[in-house]
Amino acid sequence: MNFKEIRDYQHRLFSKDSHPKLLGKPSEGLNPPDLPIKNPEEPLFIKSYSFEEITMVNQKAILMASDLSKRYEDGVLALDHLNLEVQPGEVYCLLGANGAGKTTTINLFLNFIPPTTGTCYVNGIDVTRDPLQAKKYVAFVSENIMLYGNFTARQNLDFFAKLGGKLNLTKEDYYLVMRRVSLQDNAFEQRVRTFSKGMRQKLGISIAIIKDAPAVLLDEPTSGLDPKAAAEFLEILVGLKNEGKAILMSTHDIFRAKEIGDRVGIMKEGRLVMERTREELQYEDLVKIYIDYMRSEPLTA
Amino acid sequence: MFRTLFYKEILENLASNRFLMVFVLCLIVIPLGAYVSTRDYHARQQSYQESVNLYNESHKLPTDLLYRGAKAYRPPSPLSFLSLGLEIVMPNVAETRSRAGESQSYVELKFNNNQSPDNIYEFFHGPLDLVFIVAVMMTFFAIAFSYGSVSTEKEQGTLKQILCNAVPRNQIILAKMAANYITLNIPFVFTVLLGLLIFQGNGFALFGSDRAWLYVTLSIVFSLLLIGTFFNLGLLVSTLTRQAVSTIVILLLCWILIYGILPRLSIILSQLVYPVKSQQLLAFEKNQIRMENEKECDARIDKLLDSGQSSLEKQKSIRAEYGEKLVESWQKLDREWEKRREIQMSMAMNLARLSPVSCFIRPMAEISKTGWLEYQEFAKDVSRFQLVLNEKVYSQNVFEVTKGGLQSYEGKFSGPAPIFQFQTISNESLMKNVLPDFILLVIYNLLFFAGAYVKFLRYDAR
Repeated sequence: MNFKEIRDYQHRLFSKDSHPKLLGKPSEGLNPPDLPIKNPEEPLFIKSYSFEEITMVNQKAILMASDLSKRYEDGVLALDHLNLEVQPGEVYCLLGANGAGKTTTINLFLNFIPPTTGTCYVNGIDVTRDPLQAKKYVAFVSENIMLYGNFTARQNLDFFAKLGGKLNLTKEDYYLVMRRVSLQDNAFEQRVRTFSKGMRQKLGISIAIIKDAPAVLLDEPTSGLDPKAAAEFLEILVGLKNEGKAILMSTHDIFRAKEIGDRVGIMKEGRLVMERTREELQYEDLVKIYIDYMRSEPLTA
Repeated sequence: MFRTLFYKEILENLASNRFLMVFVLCLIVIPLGAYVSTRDYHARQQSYQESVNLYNESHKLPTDLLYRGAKAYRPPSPLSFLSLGLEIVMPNVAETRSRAGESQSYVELKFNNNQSPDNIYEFFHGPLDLVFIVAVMMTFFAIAFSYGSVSTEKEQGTLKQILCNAVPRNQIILAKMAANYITLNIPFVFTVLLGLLIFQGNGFALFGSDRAWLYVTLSIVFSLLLIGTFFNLGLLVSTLTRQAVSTIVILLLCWILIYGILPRLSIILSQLVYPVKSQQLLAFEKNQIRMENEKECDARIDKLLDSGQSSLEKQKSIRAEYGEKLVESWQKLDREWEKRREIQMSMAMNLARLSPVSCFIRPMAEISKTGWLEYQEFAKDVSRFQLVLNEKVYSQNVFEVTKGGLQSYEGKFSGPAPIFQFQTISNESLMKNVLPDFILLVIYNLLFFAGAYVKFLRYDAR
């Protein structure tokens, strides 16, 4: 499909005739290369797009890293020209040794650090250019989430829900979300400092759930969890995936990555050295691939 | 968004043990301090009143002043519960020495201090006034409230959790500052008001003619500024470090430096850079000059008596001449010493202003009328009183000396003995004096907060 064909296809796809109900007031902040899929409920603003934009629209990636690099002040190249996309309803697992660039990737998507080159988009919004707008569409679960120890689980949830823009939720809404992540009822009004790590991680994911963002970023969320707690946690992720969330998870757990990931990427020295789909992995041994990559010669050598 | 962040900070503080601890400590210490200070003031006031009454009884006539000498008493300050300042160490009585039989053209003035605390042990640890409570206790609490506000959140990962939402960073730091500062000051302001009730209940008129409320309000403003300075310093260090432990260690070192070392160092430095002789040495030098002067004067009179040409007029003229010479020499010495001391003091004061604590302690003493200004005002009033005494009593009464040592007295002033009246420093002069410290405290607050603000905006959240 050449450029002209793609453009014609896009014009047909988003033309006034094909989606009359979607047309209305233009949504705010749609600067190139913003995508017209920000919120399914929001009316779309139709305009002409460049070739790159059209490619993105076609793919409908919620998370997208384009030629993304990060070199820290000490000269370490943490991320080297990463290109990555995560579609709605997809779980993308990033594997790699410590320092491979997994957390840096997540930090760049959250605008915790600026990229050296390249761009990352959340729901079509350039994270560096409009970080606050981009953050509306992303939820985050970190490793060892601590939360506020003097607050109860519900108070923590209430605070982060409000930060996420959910201002009118009731106590029942919070209870519902906490039940969904299998947090026991008697823990709802308990101070979080009494929680086990597993309970805290569950509360962490319930914070991500209540934000109801189309993208969820997880940084080694199951590290330190016992197998049962990890399995429960991943079940919740599957639920989110089925809701259409785009999930990007960095992990060291190869088995669970294979189990839950629709796509698995292996990172080494800041580069995405391998990417496999679930289907491809049915016939390949991920553990062997991973170990082979880790044992291979350094890329910079 | 700001409201959510602000409310969370308030709630987190109210649920914490440190808030409870600060509240309990303030509740015990501040009203207790107010009670003890007002009781001590009552004792000093009673002593002052008795001394004044006794003096008035025994100094009704000008001759009483000649024989017994005049005295001027400085009343104690009722606001000493805010700051005891120099109240105990400052002279509280000025005496003119009556040296019957000698020239009265210059009457020596001496400042004395006949006060001492009920319990001498107080000198070791200082009083429990508002200055101590704020400069030591509240500044420490301010650090305790702010040290973890950013670094603990960094350490626990909650800051990352906040920053992954569409929250402007400036709102986070502003909410932290406002909420923590307000929560910290709730126990302080509440218990200070309680202390004021005790003050009022002990017979002081807060809203009386001496405008105590104005000075109390000013003291509270200064206190809040100092607390704010340490709080913002805590916030700044908290944004600069990644671990709460590092923050508290750095802040404790800063606290020691600001509270303990800088003010003391400034005094030592000023003494080294600009030395001034001690008062004892000055008194010794003055005594030597007097002895020489008297020796010369006596020699001349003796010579005159020996020549048989002595007359009362001639003796008077010689004594007056030497008296004037003595006065001139003493005044010159005093002026030089005062000048040097003022330079040294002003050098020490300005150097000490590098410490926010110094910008608080000295003005608090001035506001409480227990500072150096009050003493200077007392000294000025005493000088005026001395002039009145010279004009109405000493210069109008003549002592005659004969060779046989006989003395006769001839009084010309017959009215009632002049009474010393003390006028405290004017509000205008006071405000003018404390204004630089006020401005400096505001600058310290802004500087530390601006540093914390900028650092937080640039914070690398990874």
